[in-house]
Amino acid sequence: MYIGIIWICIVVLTAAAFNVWYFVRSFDLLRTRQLMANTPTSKIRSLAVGLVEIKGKAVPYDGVYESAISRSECIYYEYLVETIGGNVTGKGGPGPHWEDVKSASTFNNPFYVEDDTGKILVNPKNAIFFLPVSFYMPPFWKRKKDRQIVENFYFREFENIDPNKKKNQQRVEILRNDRFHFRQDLKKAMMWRYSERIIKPGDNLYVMGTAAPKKPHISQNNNEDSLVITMGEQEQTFVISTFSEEALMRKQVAMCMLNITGSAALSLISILWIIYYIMFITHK
Amino acid sequence: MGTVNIETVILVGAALALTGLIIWVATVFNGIVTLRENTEKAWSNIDVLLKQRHDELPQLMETVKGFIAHEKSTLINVVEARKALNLTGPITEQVVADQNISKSIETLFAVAENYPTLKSNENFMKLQKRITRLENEIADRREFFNDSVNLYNIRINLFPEMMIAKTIGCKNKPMYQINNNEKETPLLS
Repeated sequence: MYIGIIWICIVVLTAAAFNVWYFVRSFDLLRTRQLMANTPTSKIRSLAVGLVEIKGKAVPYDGVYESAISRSECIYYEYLVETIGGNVTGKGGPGPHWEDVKSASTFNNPFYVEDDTGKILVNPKNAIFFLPVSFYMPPFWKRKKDRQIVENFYFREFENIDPNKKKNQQRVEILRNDRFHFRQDLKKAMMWRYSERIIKPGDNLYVMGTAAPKKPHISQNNNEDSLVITMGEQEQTFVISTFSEEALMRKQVAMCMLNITGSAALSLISILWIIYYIMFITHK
Repeated sequence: MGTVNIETVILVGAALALTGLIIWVATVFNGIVTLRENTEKAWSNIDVLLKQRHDELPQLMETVKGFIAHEKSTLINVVEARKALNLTGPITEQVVADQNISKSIETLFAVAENYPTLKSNENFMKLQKRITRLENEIADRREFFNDSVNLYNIRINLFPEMMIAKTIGCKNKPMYQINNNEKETPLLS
C-alpha cells in the first residue's frame, strides 16, 4: 500500500512540477506581450541599436522562393506534415493523435522590411513566427489536384539529395527510372495532413527584435545600411508576424490566460491531492 | 479515512493569494521601471543625433562663409544657436536650443537657394544632405521619445498601478513640445 502511495505521489509531483513550469512559462508570454505594448514603433531610417519594434512591407533580399508544398511565391515559408499516430481502432494503447512526419522552414534566409522612411534587413534565425495557415490539406485526400501537390512535395524533398553519397544513389536511381516507390509511399501519404505558412512579398509585417550592427556573413552588399534586425544576446525577444500588433497581443493574452488558468487549476489539484494523501498517511 | 482540515485549506489559500499579490506588485514595479528607463534611453538617442549635428555645423559654416559672408545675421544665428545647446542641461532647455538650431539651419538653407555657386558646391551639397538626414532622424526620434513618455505617463496614472507609482516617487514627464513660434506658418510676401 505504501509503495502505491509513493508511486501516486511521484506521479502527482511530476504533474505538479510540469504544471508549475508551464505556469511560469505563461508569464514569458505575458512578458513578451508587455514588451510589445511598452515599446513604441520606430521608423526605420532612425533606428537605434537595441530592442526595436518596426512595421512595414516584406521585400525580397535574394529573390523569391517557391514554398515547399503549395509552390507559392514567397520570401519565407514553414511547413508541417503530420500523420495519424496511435491506435485508430480504439482497442488498447494510446488513442489517435497527430505525429510530426516532417517540418522545415527557411529561417536562414534574410529578407527586408520596408516602411515609408527606408528598409532594413531582417535575419529571421531564432525568431518566433506568428503567421496564419496559408495552405492546409487534411488527410484522406482524393482529388487528382491533391495527389499532384503531394507528388510535387515528395519529389521536391529529393531534389536536393546529394547523389555522391552512397546511401542516396540507389534512391536517386529509383526516382529517376521508376515511380514504384512513390506509389507504395502514397498509401502512407494518404494519412498525412499538410499545413504551410508563408510570407509573400508585399505582406504587412510586424517585427520586434534587436537592431544590431551587421555581421559580414549576413549581407555582402556594402551599400546597405549598417544595422540588421536579429535576435539579441541579452534581450532574446524576437517576433515576426503578419498579424497586426493589436491582434498579436490579443492572441498572446488568450494563449497566456488559457495556459495560466489550466496550469493553475491542474497545479492546485495536484498540490491538494499531495496534501490529502500526506494527511491520509499521517492519520493512518 | 482522514478528513481535510479546514484551517489548512484556508492557510494554503491565503499563502497562494499572498504569493499572487507579491508577483503582481513585482510585475507592476518592473513594468514602471522599464518604461521610465525607456524614456531615458529615448532621450539619450536624441542626444546622440544632436551631438552629431552639433559636430557637423562648424564644417557647414566653414563651407558657406566664403559664399555668403555678407549674410551675417544668418550665419550668426547658426553660431549662437549652436553655442546655446548644452547636452548635459535640463531637457526643457535642450528642447529650446534644439528648436533654435533647426530653425537657423532651415533659414541658412533657404538663403543658400539664392546663391547658385554655393548650391552647386559639392561639399555644401554633401553637408546639406547629411544635415537634412540628421534633421529627419531627430524628428523621428522626438516622436519616439514622445511615445515613450506617453506610455510612461499613462502607466503611472492608471489605477491600481498609480498606488505603486506614487510609493516609488514617479511623476509625469514632460513631452517634447514645439513652442508657439514654431507652429506659426510664415507669411509669404
